[in-house]
Amino acid sequence: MKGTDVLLDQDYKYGFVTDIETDTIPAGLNEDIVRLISRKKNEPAFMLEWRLKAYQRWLTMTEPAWQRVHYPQINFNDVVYYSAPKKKGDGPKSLDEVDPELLRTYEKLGIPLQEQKMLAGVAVDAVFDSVSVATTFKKKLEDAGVIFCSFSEAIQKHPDLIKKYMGSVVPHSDNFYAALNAAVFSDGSFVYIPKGVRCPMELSTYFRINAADTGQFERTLIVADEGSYVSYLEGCTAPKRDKNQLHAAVVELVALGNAEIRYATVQNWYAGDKQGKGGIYNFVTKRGKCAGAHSKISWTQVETGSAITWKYPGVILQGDYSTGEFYSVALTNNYQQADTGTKMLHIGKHTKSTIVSKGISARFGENTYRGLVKVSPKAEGARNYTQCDSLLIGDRCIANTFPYIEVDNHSARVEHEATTSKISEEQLFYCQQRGLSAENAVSMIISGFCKEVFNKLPMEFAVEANKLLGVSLEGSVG
Amino acid sequence: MPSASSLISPKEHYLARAQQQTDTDLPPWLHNQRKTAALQLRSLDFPSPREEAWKYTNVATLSKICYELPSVAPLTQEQTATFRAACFDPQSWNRLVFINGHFAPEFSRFETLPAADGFLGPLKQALQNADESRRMEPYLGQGITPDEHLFAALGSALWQDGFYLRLAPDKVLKNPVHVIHLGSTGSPVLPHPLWVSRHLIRLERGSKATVFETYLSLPSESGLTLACSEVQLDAGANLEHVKLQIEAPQTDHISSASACLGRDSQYQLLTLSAGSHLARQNLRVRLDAEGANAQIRGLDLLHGQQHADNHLLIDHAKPNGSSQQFFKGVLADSAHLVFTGRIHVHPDAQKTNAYQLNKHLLLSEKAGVDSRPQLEIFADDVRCTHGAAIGQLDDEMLFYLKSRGLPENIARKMLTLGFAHDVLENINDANMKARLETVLSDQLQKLTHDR
Repeated sequence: MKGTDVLLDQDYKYGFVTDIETDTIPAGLNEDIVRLISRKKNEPAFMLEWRLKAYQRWLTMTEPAWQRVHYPQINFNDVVYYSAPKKKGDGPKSLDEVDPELLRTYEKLGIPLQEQKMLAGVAVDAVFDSVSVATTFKKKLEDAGVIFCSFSEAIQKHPDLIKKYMGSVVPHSDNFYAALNAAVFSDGSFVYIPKGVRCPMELSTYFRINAADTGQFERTLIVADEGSYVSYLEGCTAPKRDKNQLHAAVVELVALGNAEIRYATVQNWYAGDKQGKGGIYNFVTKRGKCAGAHSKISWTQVETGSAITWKYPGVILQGDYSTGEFYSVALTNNYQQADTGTKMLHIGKHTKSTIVSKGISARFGENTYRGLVKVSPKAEGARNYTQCDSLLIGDRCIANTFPYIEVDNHSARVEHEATTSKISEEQLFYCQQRGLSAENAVSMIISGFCKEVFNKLPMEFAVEANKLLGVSLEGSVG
Repeated sequence: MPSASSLISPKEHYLARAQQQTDTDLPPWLHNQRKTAALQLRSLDFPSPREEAWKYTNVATLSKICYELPSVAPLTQEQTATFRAACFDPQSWNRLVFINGHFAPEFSRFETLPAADGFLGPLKQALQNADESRRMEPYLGQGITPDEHLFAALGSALWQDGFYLRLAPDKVLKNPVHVIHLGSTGSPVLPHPLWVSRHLIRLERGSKATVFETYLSLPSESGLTLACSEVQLDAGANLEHVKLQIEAPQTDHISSASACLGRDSQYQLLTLSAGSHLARQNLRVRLDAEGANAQIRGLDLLHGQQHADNHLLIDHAKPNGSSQQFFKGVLADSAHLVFTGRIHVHPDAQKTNAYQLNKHLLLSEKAGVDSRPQLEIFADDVRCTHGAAIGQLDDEMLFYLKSRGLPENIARKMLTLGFAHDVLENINDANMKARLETVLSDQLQKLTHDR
């Protein structure tokens, strides 16, 4: 086995199952299920109305077919839309009351929820199957005026904010999976940064799918009020199972005037085994809106997991002088498939966007970059720079690049560059000649290839992402 | 106010025309091909923007018109003048002229190749020759099949004539071939003439040729050109191919070209498009054997309400192939340009080197560009790159020229010409280059007149 081969073959170490009592509703989807979910969460009437509206809309929609990912027809009636760890009494008031089994699970995942053990300066909201189980550092954030809580809690405590912003970026009718999510979403995170506040710590949500046959449908909403700043990170894992599981989330970001949101994802859902059996279908709608002038939204994603990754985190650049960024590393190994990229919609004047996408396909992996840069007629002085690079490892993998560039304003300046190539023999030779093993040489070249993106991650996670890439590629290189 | 032609739908109209084609003199294989095309036509609809391949080009307007095939008629004075203006070719060149899709021997002059050297002449004439007909059968209608879209089916079912060039192994055709397509309303005068032509170029092993095509029409015309050309290059063959499209502003132009490249063969294509209201070019190049090379360049110069759509597929099927695509557009007024260029590398096509660049210059506020450069890679040992850039003239360059005392409008013209001219750089033949440069500067005059 050549050096690169060893690198691709490592086991998924987050594949364990937590044995915990759950509150699970029957599989299937109909109006009663939507009502049941809403009732279980004790939601106000406006939420139920919104869910039902979305459900009715979803019924009229058809599954899209243009994507470059292949999967057997999903039977939406086989999916369990709600599963939660059983609550004792009214639910935990503090971390001490959280089920110790759950805390152990997160510890095993490397996300200790006890505050003294945590990475200093990162507040975590832990979402287990359908619900948020714990949010750390609540007190400290409250002092700063920051609201960071589960979506369900936000619905109860801050209904006005939810009413105002939920669906304002990704409407309930946006697309097939977003409509499904709007109808059945169970939980997620909610963040509100008040005017002029710089969030004192990194915020983070850790998503874990545990129960079998469930889909995870979470919804995240981040609102950064004028002049505020927040950096947010999400991580994801799931147990190894032979059956595919659906994850259809929605993330909405709203940045008002002069506000900045940095959103990073390290996605490591179970990718299926080497024969491509099992794994998560990660069909997600993520979109941010730079609503105010001089606002900025930055997406960074490291996508190493999931059997299928299919998402286009985008930015609506509505405010004048607003900025959108997209930095992505997507890795497909074995039989993984990814169709991902971004949408940058330039509407305001002098808006800027930067897209850097790195795709790595190994073995039988299929990796597609698909992106849209649209400059509308009024977007005077818009500027875009796009770079998409693909790295090929093995002669059976596939790399596609499908950018769409639509320019309707003459003062726009749009540039796009893309390359596809394999790791060159010369590069390998050079490293090996300097005493590196083939395996280390390859991993070094790959981390160099991804460096531009990793540099955008918060420091602790950059280290983590680099390791993750090494693990996911283990054994396939060579 | 229903007119006679609106009583039946354009599709029914074309189906009727297809049935009326009296090709009794065509060989049976071709007769069958036409019948199949007519059947395909029945099952196809006009492409809609809902289809990915036609997303940015709407053919709704021309799908409502019943275009009519003109018959052969003598040229009017005006037609002759238009035609003369296009004849830049020196005496030594071969010239084939098609008027309204029909061969016009009185304006053509070309060498008659000995059978051992190949064949040069109108397609219909070549089909009379049993040997040539047999040689054509494996190629004609194979590169562009009628099932692709309605216009391909129309082209296959209704073509009137076209040119045919075959060169025997190692034959070098010294003098370039100039093919002129002149569209006119014909006689009796038709409001919406349909000009349908079909061409085949086959260069056998090691042979070499240069072909220059001009598409033009009278300024007042409002017809539709449908052109299909197929190119087959055998091992080591070399073709330099230029297509100049300067049709009248009210005409529409839809062309499909397909080239199949054999081992170590070379195909150089340049298209310069400045005419027509709506112009769509479908272009497919297949590198079908090892070591083939394709260089495709394009320049679109658009103004007014013009809309042009270049739709390319470079298909790398075998190892060690290389391809370069280089497309530029200059847009003024409300012109709109679409570029779709796909590089597809098959699993076995290792060591492929593919390059693509498209750059567009927007001279006015209302001009727009949609660009889709695409890579589809199924092999690993490849080098594929694409780049796209859309912008306006560089302020610093303008400033530099102005600081040297040039007035703004001259500076703009110079920079625009400089931007467009490098597409023409690799043209070898001086006459050809001069002709293209003339068209370029004439067009730029129209694009930059009041700026």
